Amino acid sequence: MSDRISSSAPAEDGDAPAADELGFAIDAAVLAVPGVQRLFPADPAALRALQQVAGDGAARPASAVRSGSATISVAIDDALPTREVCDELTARVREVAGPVPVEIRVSRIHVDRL
Amino acid sequence: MTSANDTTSPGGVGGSGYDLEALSAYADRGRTPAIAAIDGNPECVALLDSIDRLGALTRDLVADDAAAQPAPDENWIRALLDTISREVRAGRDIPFPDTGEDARYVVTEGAIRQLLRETGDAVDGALVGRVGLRIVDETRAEVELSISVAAGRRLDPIAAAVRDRVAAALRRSTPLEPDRIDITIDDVHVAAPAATDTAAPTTAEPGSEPR
Amino acid sequence: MSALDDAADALLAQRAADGDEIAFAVLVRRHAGYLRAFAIRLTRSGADADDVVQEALITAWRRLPELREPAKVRGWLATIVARKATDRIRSRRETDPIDEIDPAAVTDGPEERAVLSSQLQALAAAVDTLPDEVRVTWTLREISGASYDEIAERLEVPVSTVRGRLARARAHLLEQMMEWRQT
Repeated sequence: MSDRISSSAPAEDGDAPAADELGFAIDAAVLAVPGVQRLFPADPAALRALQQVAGDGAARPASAVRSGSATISVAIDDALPTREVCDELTARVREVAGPVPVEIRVSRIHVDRL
Repeated sequence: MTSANDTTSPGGVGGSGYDLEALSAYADRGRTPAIAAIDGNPECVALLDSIDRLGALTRDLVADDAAAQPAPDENWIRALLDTISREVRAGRDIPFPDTGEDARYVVTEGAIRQLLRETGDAVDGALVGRVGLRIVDETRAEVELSISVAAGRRLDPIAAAVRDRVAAALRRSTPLEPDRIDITIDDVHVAAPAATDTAAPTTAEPGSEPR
Repeated sequence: MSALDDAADALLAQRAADGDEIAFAVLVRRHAGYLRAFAIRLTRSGADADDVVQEALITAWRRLPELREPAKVRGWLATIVARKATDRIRSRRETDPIDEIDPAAVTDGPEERAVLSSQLQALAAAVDTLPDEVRVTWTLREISGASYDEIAERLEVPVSTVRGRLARARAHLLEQMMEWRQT
């Protein structure tokens, strides 16, 4: 069980530590968007499989970067229209990952009780 | 009371012909169908009563234990909820149309159903029960909600408020446009002023309109 | 969700079956104490009881859609707890053939609570001295109200064995409680 490796090499597709770095960066960017409550694993099946092999000592990013495209799964609140939040999320992801295709899954919408 | 010591005597308890095991099973059957030889025998009846009291006392013991348990830690509950897989209930992905080639936005069916539940709950006096969501074509939906209304409240304004809020929530937060929203009121509940204990509340008080 | 805090079990169970984890959390808060007390009576171990209740709740979440009568969710949860607890007792016996459970290790037992009436304390002490299988049979019957058939299936013994164990439990407990009454 190794700690997350900081790599100064350029990120390559399939380069696991670098993809993780990018995933964590996307996670951070996404959480900063107004209306986002939390992240879910973008690919829970893969995550579980990995955890079984590697043990669950190492933290994994929630967001997934696969074949050059970014996938996130989020919980948001209903203060803003969902489409607007998704547009903002797309913009923030691209700030971090470049002009990649983005998939956003909204897995939960919390109702603001005010 | 010495019946317990008589349980191995040849004539059974009190000479009834029934031993402790038979009486124990009779007690567990609720003493039906009635057996005259037992019900008419004072020692048997005393033993049956003791068995019943013992059961009641045991339930008191567990109830007492239960009440003395500390409330579950909120972190523990959160960890429990995290462990529960959401994918099981996520349902289909409902995509937003027209997001371009390089972006795809979806809302899960599970998220929409939970949104409708919470939207309905947010109406004062309403509690959502069942949510029915039928997607007619890609962006049109038929919604059926059953709700419980707080006792003593007028039904129409609450149903109307739920309908309005559900429509607004769908339009604002999902790709779906509601074709039809049916609200069914199928229960009444007592709205307690504040939750002071954890006992399960009853539903309608006697005398209020049940359905 | 304060309105949900006051909702009846049936509504909460229905919504949890539909996927509402908030409703499930309300059910958990409401019934966890009872389920833990029940599990402690079965396993005689606070630590085991915690594990058993957690496993039972995770199973319950998955199987809630199978619950046909949502109003009976509390008894249904107790049934799952009973299953997990008896599995644990069985596997405990397989790995530790000598029963190492020390009665004093049940730290949450009523022996430690001064507020418990001396009668209930006497009963708790008497229940704790029953042999495992008798105590478990007794607890399933008197606490969760399981039928003889259900207990027989759960413990994988004939109904006649269930009947015999309940009689034995009652003989022992009545004797102990009578002694308490005479002291």
